Amino acid sequence: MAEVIHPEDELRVIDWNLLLETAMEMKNAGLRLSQACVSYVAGKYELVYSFVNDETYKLTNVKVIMETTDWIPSICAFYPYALFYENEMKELYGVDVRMMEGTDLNNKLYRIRETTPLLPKEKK
Amino acid sequence: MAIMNFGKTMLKNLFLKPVTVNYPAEPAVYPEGSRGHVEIDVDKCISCTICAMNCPSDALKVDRQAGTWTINRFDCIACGYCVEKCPKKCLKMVPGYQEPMGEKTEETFRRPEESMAKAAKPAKPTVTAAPSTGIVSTHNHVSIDVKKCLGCGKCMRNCPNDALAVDRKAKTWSINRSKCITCGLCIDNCPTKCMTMDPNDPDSNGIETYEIELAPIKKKD
Amino acid sequence: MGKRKVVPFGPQHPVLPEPIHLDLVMEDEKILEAVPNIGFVHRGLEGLIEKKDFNELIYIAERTCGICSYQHGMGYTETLEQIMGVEIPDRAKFLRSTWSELGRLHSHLLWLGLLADGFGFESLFYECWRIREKILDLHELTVGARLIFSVNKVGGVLRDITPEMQKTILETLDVVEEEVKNIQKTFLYDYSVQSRLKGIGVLSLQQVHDLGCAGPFARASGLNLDMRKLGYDAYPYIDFEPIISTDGDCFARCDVRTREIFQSIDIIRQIFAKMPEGDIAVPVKGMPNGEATVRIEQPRGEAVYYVKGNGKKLLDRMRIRTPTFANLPGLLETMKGADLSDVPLLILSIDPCISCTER
Repeated sequence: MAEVIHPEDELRVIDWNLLLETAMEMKNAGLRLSQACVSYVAGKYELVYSFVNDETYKLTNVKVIMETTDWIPSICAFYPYALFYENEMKELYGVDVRMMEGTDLNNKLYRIRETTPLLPKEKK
Repeated sequence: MAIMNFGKTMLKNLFLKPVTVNYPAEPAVYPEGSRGHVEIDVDKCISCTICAMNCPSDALKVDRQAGTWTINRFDCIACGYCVEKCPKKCLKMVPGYQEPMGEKTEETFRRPEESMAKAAKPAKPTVTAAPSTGIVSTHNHVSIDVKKCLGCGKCMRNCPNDALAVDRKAKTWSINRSKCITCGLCIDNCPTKCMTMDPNDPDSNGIETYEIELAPIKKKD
Repeated sequence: MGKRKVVPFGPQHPVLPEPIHLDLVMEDEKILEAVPNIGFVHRGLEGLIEKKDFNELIYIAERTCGICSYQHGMGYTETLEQIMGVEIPDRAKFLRSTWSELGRLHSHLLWLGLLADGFGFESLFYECWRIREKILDLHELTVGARLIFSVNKVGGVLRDITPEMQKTILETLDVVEEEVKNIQKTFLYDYSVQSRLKGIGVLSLQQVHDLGCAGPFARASGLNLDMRKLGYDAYPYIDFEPIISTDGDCFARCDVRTREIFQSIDIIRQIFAKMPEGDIAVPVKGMPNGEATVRIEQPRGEAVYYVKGNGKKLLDRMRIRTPTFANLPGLLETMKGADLSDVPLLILSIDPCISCTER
């Protein structure tokens, strides 16, 4: 039998103003941002950021629930490559992400004709 | 570092015959389990419309009143989900791909007259299943004679849409009318034949629960 | 001080298997930075959760990509099984690992052929793809189709691999191993190949870790990361170690993928030696309620599947994060300071699967 490392996954639900603090804590612990996605559930946006530890393979999911009229700060200061995930959230679902400061791809990552195509039709 | 490492393979390839098959001059040979297209044994079909509701690419249409089964072979992706879901196992996946044609065509199969006469015939016309909306609107419903029910649960296990629930301890038989597609499989499978297809509108569109009397099983002496 | 120009690259280019657009900011012959633009094959597959129920979505998840299609279907099914609390039988786990490794074999052989075409060696390209045809014949024998498998369901698999099929597979793999050893000599030791691949697109271990890269692209720079160590399916019973190299250039990435072909053949032999008897599926009732995240090792790296259900037959969210999306920042970093004529090779060295990236 080969050795198997499979620690339990962790889920943390936080408020939107604690997002930057949590991102800084993850960065100091040496974790890597694995994915960031948004779901449109019951009229609100649910953002899920996944952080992975490369030595122990442990996965930590950080969930932020926000209204569609709120805005959320970008975590590009700690994870520069998060701008791809955030641009995807902005262009496909219409999440308002601010403070990207010069690294923003200016809504041009996806070359598609419709704006926010993945939101259900009643919302738009 | 070396040069001309590929030389030996290149010289060998000069004298090899082509690895391709001269299709269509030579016929193509497909292995036994190959997924080519769907065929139906239309004598066994009961027009329950489960295949049409579950097709991922909406290639099937079933007309319950006329007893036909239509497939658009150009939309079919040969995934095999209808073969898996069919309760009477009348569909199968055989090798052989669709030939290219000038425009998309559909193929229709009709059930024979004897099998249409045996089926539970609704008195009022029914609406054909709209693919992937899941619900067939119909004007007949399943009704049960609670005195004859044994509480064995065979109807519940054979329901393809999970519309029935039988509880022996609580002595109840319940049916979810919005999930029932009136395919009649429960009626076919009941050992005491206590269920029938009633050609009127059902009382409600939700869950109806009846108390059953758990008739004793008659032992043969 | 030269003048700065912007050269558009793609979406149509002879060396790209799928369309991607890059705006290259150049000064004389060197590239300063690259700005990406995707969306040419965006089909909106994640929007189909509004119309198709969770069982039909298996067939849709498989069609995200043509090359890594089996692992997409398997990853999505395993996430559903984790939400619904289903434990599949052992034989089904071993069967899934077999098909997963066969998929990895055909993907790496396809990439080796495209790389050879990228630097102009067309005979080697055809030789790699001729060997790959034997693997596709094995697919059709066991599953019924060459590329899109459709053999997973929630609770197990739909088809079995009989002992006669196992014998055929092992015989074919012996032949494939001999032929790949022959072409490996050309890839690794030939003078003209080395002069195109060595020293191009170097990334150090620290850069790869900071940019969040995954798969053979990261392992070629020394990062010891392989999701098969998590122990899903039959991997707890198999002895293997992730293959790493420390050079970090295009030659090292080619070396890592070639050695992974031999490792996959060895893993399939171990799987057949240890395969248990038993059922291939268990019956499942109910709807998914809850959320789960599962990570799978695809041929290109780590893929993350996130599924959220609410007890009805239509899901709330299905998210696939493919490894090419994680390797894009690494690609843009390698472009800095490179020559214009090396750009096709740099793009090919991350093994781009753009239809996976955009879904």
